[in-house]
Amino acid sequence: MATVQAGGALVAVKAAKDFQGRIGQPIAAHVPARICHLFDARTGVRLTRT
Amino acid sequence: MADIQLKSLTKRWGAFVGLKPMDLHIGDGEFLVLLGPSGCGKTTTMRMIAGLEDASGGDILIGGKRVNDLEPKDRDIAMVFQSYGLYPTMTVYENIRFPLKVRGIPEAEHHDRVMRAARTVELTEFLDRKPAALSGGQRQRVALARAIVRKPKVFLMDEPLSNLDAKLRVSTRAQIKNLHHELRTTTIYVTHDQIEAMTLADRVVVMSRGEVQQVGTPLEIYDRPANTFVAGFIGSPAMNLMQGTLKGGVFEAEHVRIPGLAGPDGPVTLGFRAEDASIAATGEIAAPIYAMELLGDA
Repeated sequence: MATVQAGGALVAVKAAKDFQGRIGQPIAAHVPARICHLFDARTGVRLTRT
Repeated sequence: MADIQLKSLTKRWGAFVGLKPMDLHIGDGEFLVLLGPSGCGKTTTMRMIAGLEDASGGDILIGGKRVNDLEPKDRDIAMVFQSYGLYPTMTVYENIRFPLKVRGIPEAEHHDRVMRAARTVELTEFLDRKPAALSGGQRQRVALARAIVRKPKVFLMDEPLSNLDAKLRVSTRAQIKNLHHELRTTTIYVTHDQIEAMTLADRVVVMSRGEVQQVGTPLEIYDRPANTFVAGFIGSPAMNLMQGTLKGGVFEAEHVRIPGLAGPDGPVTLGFRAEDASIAATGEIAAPIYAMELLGDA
């Protein structure tokens, strides 16, 4: 599991077993819209999932 | 067996609201889990159903009968606690038999019923032992046997696995699941452990600060959390949640740009599960690694 700081939070992303990452190394994560959930920023209530 | 209805059930201590009005129908034979952090109202709800705590308002119906004014012993429920509640001076056999004696069940039935309950939870070889000579898991199985021996309408279980170590929790959890499959007794189970909730429940009630946040099957709650509390509480690791702005279907935040979303323009919280995303050559998130953890499968 790789963790990055993004969007003001710690964000975890599953990595392949053989992934060799070092702290500080730049990486990219594929986060397609279909896996995302949207919530109201103020109330926290679910808006939608595309 | 029986169904349970909670109608506008509330609990207040002075100005403090322990449980906001709660409406819930628990089906006959259902395994329902009340899940939430400490102080969310789950144990209070169970204690009111058991009759150990008076309701401040609303009705509790078991098998269609209002039980608010009945003593705990007259509600035909059996409880299992994390502390086991066994009598230390009695053997396992005597502990299991005790509810039958208290309730005046004919003595001729006792032996068969004790043995059947002991077999169900695989305790027959320990019947002559005192609780002190048992492991934590075996003691909890005695508590389970004592609950099932008198065939109550409802089981109430309050964090029954909390005192067990991790390995015993897994095996005892499986026994509780199997027990419910065999007996089909309506069960309400309280826990703060979302893995217990997801593995045991037909439906889960997620609670926070005395209020129901979501009611649904484990899959519904995992796949479609009703709010950020549920999203952050269910799953291991919990769902990633980020603050950002949605504009024209594109979410943007520091190191993040995700197009193709549907929602109103403005500030939003975006969530996704770690296991649904993947490391790639290019992607919607680009940032330096903050930490690496080996979790067995990732």
